[in-house]
Amino acid sequence: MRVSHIQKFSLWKFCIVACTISFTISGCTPQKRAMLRVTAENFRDRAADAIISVKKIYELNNLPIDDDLVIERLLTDTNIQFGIPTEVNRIITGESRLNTQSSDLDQALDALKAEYDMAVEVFKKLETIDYESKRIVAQTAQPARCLTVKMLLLAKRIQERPPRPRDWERVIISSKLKHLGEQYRKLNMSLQPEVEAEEIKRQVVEQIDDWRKVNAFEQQSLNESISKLLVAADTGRKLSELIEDYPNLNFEVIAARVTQIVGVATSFTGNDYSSTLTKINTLEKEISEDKILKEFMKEISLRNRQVQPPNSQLCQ
Amino acid sequence: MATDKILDAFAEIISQLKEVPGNQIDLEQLNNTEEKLRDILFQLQFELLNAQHQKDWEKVNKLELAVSECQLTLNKVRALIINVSIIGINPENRAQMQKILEEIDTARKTQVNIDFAIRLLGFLRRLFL
Repeated sequence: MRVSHIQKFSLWKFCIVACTISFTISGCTPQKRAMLRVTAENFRDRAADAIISVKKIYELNNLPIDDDLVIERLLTDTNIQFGIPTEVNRIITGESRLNTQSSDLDQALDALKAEYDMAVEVFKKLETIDYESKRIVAQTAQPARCLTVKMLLLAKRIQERPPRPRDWERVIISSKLKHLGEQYRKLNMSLQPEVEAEEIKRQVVEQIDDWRKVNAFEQQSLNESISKLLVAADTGRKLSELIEDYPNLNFEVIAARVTQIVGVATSFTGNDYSSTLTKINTLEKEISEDKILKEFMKEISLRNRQVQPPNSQLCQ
Repeated sequence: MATDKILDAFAEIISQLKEVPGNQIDLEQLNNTEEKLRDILFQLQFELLNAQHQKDWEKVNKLELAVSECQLTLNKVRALIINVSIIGINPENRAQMQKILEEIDTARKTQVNIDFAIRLLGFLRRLFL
């Protein structure tokens, strides 16, 4: 009787110790950390994709080269220095030394992309260590949140102050319209003014049509870019949530959540302007409901408006 | 004359930057500068196209340079906006801006020339360095 009592006691003790060990291990298993790494990689890929599209819509395009004009210029411009290859190249290809270098804007966007790569590196390293990994996971929440907010702010900026990537096409249309106007005003000197007037009007209609097409194409590419940024921001938001809940979730729950996060991209496309706007607002609302993300958003937006240089270590 | 409008836009950018209190330029000013530079780029490209049609190669050369300079400056301003960095204006720049404003007035009264616009773009870029 006494013996069995001792046995029971030992069994209980063993159970408690085993449970403690198993809780400690399952708190931050390599599998769970691998799931975080997958999500971080997904976040990075989407951010990289979004940044490429942002670069594209901020590209400053030159006017297309007209071969006939190049020939005429080479033959008639007496100031061309044919002994300098860069000069001849500039005339033939339209490329100057200035616009072949990587632009300041591209460099800024590359630096932004590097931050996302760095986040992935952190999660990769984290996967290989056991000691204190739980505490380090908690620390990764901050940069992940910061990167999320950055994607959203970039989307908002494009929506509020859209760049005009297709302006060079408008330049050409404007120039054509100017010439058509000049022709029209000289019609009284023509032999068949009415016939010619009709022809000029037809060409103006054509140009108006082209201008509208430029507007529509441009809006489409802006929407696509905004959508990509929103997909990235949304992935980041979910990654932050996952990090937050990480210690309390088991592998299966984390795996299920990650599968859902990785599969979400298809639900956002840039086809519809009004829906893009709604998505910005929805995501902004979701972020402002998250207590910590809200603080980040406030601090970064404030830094936008204030004149003093950033003194917080928020996103460092 | 279209180049007059380009100079007006420059004058506006620089006087706005000059009015910034506390020697610092904030995002709103950068946004306005970006918008104006974009309009200047449009006008420069428009003038370039006209010069090409007129086969005025001297003007084409200058305008091509002006377009490149404008693109560089615009990219620099946009990079600053994206970085959300805040820039300071030192007193030296402030004095130089005053000088440029006066030069713009003179240029408007006398002959408008594109070299001047190119120099202005170079100055603006240094300001945002």
